[in-house]
Amino acid sequence: MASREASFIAMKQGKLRYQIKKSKTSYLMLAPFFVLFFFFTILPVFASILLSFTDFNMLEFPEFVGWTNYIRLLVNDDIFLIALKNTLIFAVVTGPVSYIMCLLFAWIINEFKGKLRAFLTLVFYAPSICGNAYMIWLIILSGDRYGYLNGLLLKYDFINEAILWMKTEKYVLPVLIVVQLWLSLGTGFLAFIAGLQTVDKSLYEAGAIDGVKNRWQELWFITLPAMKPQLMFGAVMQITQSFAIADISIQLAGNPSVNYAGATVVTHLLDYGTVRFEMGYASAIATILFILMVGTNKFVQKILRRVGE
Amino acid sequence: MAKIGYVINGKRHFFKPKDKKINRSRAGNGMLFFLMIVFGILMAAPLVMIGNNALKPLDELFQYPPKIFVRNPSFENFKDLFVAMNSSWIPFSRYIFNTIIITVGGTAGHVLFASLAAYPLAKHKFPGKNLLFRMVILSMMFSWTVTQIPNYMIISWLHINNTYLALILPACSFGMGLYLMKQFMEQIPDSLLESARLDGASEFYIFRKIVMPNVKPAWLTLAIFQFQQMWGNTGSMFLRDEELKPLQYALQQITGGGTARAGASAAVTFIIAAIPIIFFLICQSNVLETMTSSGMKE
Amino acid sequence: MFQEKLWLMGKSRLKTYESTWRKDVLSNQENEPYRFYLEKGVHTIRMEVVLGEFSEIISEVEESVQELNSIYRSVIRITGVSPDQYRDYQIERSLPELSTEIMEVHDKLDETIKDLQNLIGENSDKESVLITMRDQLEELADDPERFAEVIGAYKINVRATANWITQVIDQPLQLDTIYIYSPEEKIEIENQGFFARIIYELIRLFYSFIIDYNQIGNASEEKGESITLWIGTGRDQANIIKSLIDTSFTKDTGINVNVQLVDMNTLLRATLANEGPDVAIQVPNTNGIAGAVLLTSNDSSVNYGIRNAVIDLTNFSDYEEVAQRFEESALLQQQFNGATYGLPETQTFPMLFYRKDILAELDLAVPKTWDEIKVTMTVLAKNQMEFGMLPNEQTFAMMLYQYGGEYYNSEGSKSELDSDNAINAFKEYCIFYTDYKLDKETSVEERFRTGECPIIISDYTLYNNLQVSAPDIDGLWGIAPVPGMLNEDGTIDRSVGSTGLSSLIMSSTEEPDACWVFLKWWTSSETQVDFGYEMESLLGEAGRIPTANKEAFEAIPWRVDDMNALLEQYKWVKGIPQVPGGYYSWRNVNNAFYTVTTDTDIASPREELVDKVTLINTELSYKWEEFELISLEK
Repeated sequence: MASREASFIAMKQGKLRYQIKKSKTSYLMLAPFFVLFFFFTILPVFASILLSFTDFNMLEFPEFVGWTNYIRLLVNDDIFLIALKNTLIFAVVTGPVSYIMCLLFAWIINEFKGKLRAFLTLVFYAPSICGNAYMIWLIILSGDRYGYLNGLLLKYDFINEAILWMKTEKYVLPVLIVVQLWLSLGTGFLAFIAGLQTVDKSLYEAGAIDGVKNRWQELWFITLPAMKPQLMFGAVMQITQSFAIADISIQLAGNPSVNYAGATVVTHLLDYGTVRFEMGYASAIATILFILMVGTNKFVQKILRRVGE
Repeated sequence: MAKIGYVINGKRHFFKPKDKKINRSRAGNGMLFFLMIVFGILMAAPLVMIGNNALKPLDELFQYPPKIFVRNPSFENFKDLFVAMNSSWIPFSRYIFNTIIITVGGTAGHVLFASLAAYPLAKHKFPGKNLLFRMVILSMMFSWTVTQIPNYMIISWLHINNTYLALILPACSFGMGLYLMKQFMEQIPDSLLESARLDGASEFYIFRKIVMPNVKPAWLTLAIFQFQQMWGNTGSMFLRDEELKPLQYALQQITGGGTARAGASAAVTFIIAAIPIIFFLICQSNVLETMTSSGMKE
Repeated sequence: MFQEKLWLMGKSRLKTYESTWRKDVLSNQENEPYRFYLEKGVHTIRMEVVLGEFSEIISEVEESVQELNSIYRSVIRITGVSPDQYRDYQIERSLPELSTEIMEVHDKLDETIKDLQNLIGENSDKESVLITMRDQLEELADDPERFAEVIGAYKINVRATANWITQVIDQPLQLDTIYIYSPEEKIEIENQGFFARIIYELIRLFYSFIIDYNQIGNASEEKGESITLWIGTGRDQANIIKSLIDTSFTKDTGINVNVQLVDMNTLLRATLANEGPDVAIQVPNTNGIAGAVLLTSNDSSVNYGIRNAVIDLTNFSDYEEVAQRFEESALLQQQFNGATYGLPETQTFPMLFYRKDILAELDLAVPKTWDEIKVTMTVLAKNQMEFGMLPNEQTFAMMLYQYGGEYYNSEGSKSELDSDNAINAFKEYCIFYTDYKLDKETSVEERFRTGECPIIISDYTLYNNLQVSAPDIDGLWGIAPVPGMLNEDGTIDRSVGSTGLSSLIMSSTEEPDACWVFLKWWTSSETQVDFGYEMESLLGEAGRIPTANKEAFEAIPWRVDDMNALLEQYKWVKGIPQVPGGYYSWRNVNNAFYTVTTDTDIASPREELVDKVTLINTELSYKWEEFELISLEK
């Protein structure tokens, strides 16, 4: 009967309204952050997604073009395919490896005490602090025959001529992977260090009593499960970073890199956004990337749920 | 007393304080140490280089390929920088003032707002909780390059362009901070909070006196990271008035003088790298301090 | 009225270098203050800067450096730049007088060090570099064979010594006030105490919130028109421009200028948000930082123009007159489809740099054509040296134009890089790196300095940089026009491309006429000369501005030989046209280049280039469609 339905809905609405009223404090606490968040993150993201359906040269008002950008991107863009391939390679190789490295190094450094630990943390976090740290790779990888790497290899006769590392297509990607790994001890690393320290020490003691034999068992059975929230955090950060690799490619290999050997989705995006004045198209690339990241995230979360089993 | 335990093979164990430690072999320790040294050198190399560059006289700076270590160290570059900075029409102290406002404001604001919002997301139930949280995570995945332009337009529309707020307000709402704090707060045992509520404490009180102290390593870490972000953000995108520019922006503009300012530029790079490191060291030692006892406090 | 010259002894200055203010009274040797009798009327105080007693020391060191360099070069002709430590080069046998030469320089340095110590005392930080050099020389004089091991360190020491000269010459001095008073008066100067200074800084800080810095120096009381100016380079430039505006522009025209030093990358979005400036100067290409754009063409003007973000300057009635100030080639970069979207500010192009001393030793003349270059290369190779030329847009443009090629058809809708001339140019361009094995990635400037590449082709602004980065070869090098193609009638075609920074008037401005007045003032000869002069006095020769204004260029204090060389090259300077989609040209040529040079056996220059041209044309068509331009030539 209609009135029964109506009263049922009214009851639910009432319940909702009641719940909202009860959670007043929660909303109050959320407010400052989320108001700003709305303006500075949500709104721009929506705007960008909207822009992906337009033709926008950044100096004039955007013009609506529907799905054109997406069609062109997925059907007609060879460079995008190269970029996508590179990005996936990066994500698959550096993603997990960086993640494990962060974890491993955080765990090892945690074994040390006091000043030494602070010092080691600093040393390992160093490349991330000095914004332009990968400049040192520019020097090592210099194509000059007196460059560090070339000089070394030439001296011991491994090669005959200086190699232009950043301009030879087959070397660009492997080198970038190495540099990325070197840079990978960033936020995840610090979060793990902090997380390791919030694990209740008494858990370890109890574990000792109950037959946990060595460090590795301790890690798998005690430490990691206790750190699940941080692990999740680290994973999300890592994925976001791996898919968004662009800076090192641009600084080391240039944008565009020679024959697009170092192109990633984001460098491709930058190309369209800043060089070609096609921001609508760039927004479409960003949206596709976004979908890709979300998918990967779901996948990784499933895996992480099984840690400790 | 709160019951904290863990699960092995389906059996629940509770801790019984006793003096036993898990076996750590000497060889294991030694090997670890050695590995650390090797990697450590590789990681620390850029820092070393930046420090050395700042002390190099001009002829060494121009060497190609560059050498890492300086041979004839001198403070010429810093002197040059000092002279160059003094010639600007804004007093130097103003740049420092701007920097403090922006960096401290952004860092403190971020830590505060993010923590405040993380608490309900971690521990309360309310309609829309999952939606909000998911939004935050998802939004972090959208490429920043592309959102820059709408971002700029919004800031301009809000009329905060060319003010300190243009840098501080967006910083207060970075998703990563929220996420980090929430993950840490989740680990706080509910029973702690319940007992406080039973004693009549307000949510804000609980937040201040119970939650935050317990996740100190987390927000200290967040502070480090956020400080670095704020410091690294020269504000060149939004700030145009000379009197609003932070120190790092002003220093960077010295490099516009090209080769003639190469020495000063090396000194600039050093200063810009050194400040976050100092902040980092200060915070890290605090992170350690809190860990003399067990993890969760009553 | 009378004038009297007095020499200020630099001696006391050196010993008592202080970083705080102090009072100096002009006195004679016995510290009795000089007295001047001033009759009624106008008097003039003139000050001259001299090195004083230091000048002798400096010239001694300069001579020593030259000799050290010559020793270096004679040694590397035997051992090469990276000698094998375990090989016996028999240096003494090939250079029997080496030991004596070394000892001579050693003794000279020794003298110099003693003089220096007399002047400023012992154990100053200024003497360590010289002592290191002298000690190394002692070692080497005993056993010249040691050069094989320490040649690297030797080179570094020589440079440090040369750098010492630059440092020592740089004696900053700040004058605050000159007091003229009668002998009975007492003037006391006291530096502020520590706290007083802090308070002063705080007061300045406080005022920084109140003062409107943009009104400083505005003499006029009435509010005339006001325009906002953005500068894209650095602090030094901004300071100078601001004071030039204050002292001459605003005073004469009554137009207030709000000077802002910004990151030019934000020009784009600021314009979009309607918060952009009225005028932007020193604008680099859309992807560069102003200092690093010597090698790529500047696309800002055209890119902004076709998107209606800047004004077409041909609309102003006196445009033709103003355009006369610049070379056609400089204006080309700012033009598309009959409109001119900006004014050129600087213009740079490549020149040939050569080491006079090395060429003299090898008995080589400065090569004038590419054939001569190739002959020279063989001679250089025999002496363990090389020709230095990097593969970049600048080099390619030079080749292209010399072979008679063009980037695009006359309206800019199609690429002409698949023409025979262009393909030949590309082939030649590749040959240097595939057959002649020139280094593709190195610092030619550095090699020029060490002497490994006594002939290089580089942007002419290197001229200014060498003053700072290579004081040890001062006077030993010169510039000449680039090598060219020999025509049938005997003339040499030395065409090169050029690039430079632009000045733009944004279309969102409400005061276009005021902006035009400003731009005219800014690019006028007087202003450019003043600007260049100020930059040079602040930063030394490295601050020299490669101005695009023809008159101002000639007013720069170049050395006569160099000026002649530059003017000769200027006759052949061409511009690089900018078209929608133009960014695709160089990118693809570069890609083709690297394919050819990496897979030399398989890839043919012709095929690679033609393939890429197809891509370029596709992009150009796409862009032309985007802007709804109708092509008349397709």
